[in-house]
Amino acid sequence: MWRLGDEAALAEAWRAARPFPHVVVDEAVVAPEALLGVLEEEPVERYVADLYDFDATAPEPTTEAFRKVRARFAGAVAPVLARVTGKDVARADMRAFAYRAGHYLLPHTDYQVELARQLAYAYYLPSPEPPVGGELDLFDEDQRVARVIEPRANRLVVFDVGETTLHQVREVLDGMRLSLAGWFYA
Amino acid sequence: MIVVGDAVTEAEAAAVRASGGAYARYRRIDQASYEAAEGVPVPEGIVRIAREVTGRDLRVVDGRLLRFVCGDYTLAHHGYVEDHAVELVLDVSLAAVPGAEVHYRRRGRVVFAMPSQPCALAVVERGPTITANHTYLSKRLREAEVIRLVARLRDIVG
Repeated sequence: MWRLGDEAALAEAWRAARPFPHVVVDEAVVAPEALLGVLEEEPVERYVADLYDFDATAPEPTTEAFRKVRARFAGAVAPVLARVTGKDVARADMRAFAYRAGHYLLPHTDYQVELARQLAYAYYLPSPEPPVGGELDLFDEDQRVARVIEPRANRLVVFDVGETTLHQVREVLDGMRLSLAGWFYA
Repeated sequence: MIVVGDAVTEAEAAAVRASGGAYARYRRIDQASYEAAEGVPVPEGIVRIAREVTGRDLRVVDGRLLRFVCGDYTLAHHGYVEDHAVELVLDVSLAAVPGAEVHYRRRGRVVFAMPSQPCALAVVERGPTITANHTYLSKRLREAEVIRLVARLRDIVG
């Protein structure tokens, strides 16, 4: 189901990426619409804090179908990413996110020593209402936007987790940005 | 923690807005995005309200004007954490802005919210477990502008 393409090219892209290591893989899933069906049974709640405002599933999937999606994703993608990035990654968590108009995730890093996150990822699902806004911004060390990644359907983005890997999700101005996202761990 | 509506008149709010001088943009986006003018005089009227509300003999430590336009915010880990200080937030905006609030949090949970309400004053007794953030101002509100006078007060000692 998951296809990341040529590993050597991915590894080169990872090393060359600025402002910090990341890769963007388009057409990452053979039949992305099937994932939407799995999510129909998964409860969604609104999460609001000073840093963010979005709708999402719980940190741990509640349905067996979603757990299988997570397991298949980690099983297929983690070994490839371990070779591409040189990081010792084996398992991944996964939540589904819906950013509607007015939703956002402000600049932050995902780095927390105690959580041991190695890589962050976001996979953009096909949306019935493609979003305006919702881009993923990656910031350089001067906190300027150095890379803008559009939330294009069937695109997988993987990026490094570190103390300086500052990023944000721009506010969605219209439509809905649907994604699966989380982190890879050792 | 309390909000006092119409703590100042519109004319007094305008005078506070005009007292700010030059704004400087804060540039640590992992903490906040806004403009600030430092060393702003704090109207005696709102200090008097703070004394009455808290029952404490307070003096002004500092006052600053914060200006927020669309896309601006402060996060809870930005700014000072004070023990026993009183914080005053006076909304001197020209108009109310939907969703533009000041949130005071304890262990991440909002325990007090100051709404967007021109001429209203929030009086907050800050402790080391209380953080505060100014909520994100939506980019869908292109012309919106929020201006708040934030003043810190302490007990007069001796």
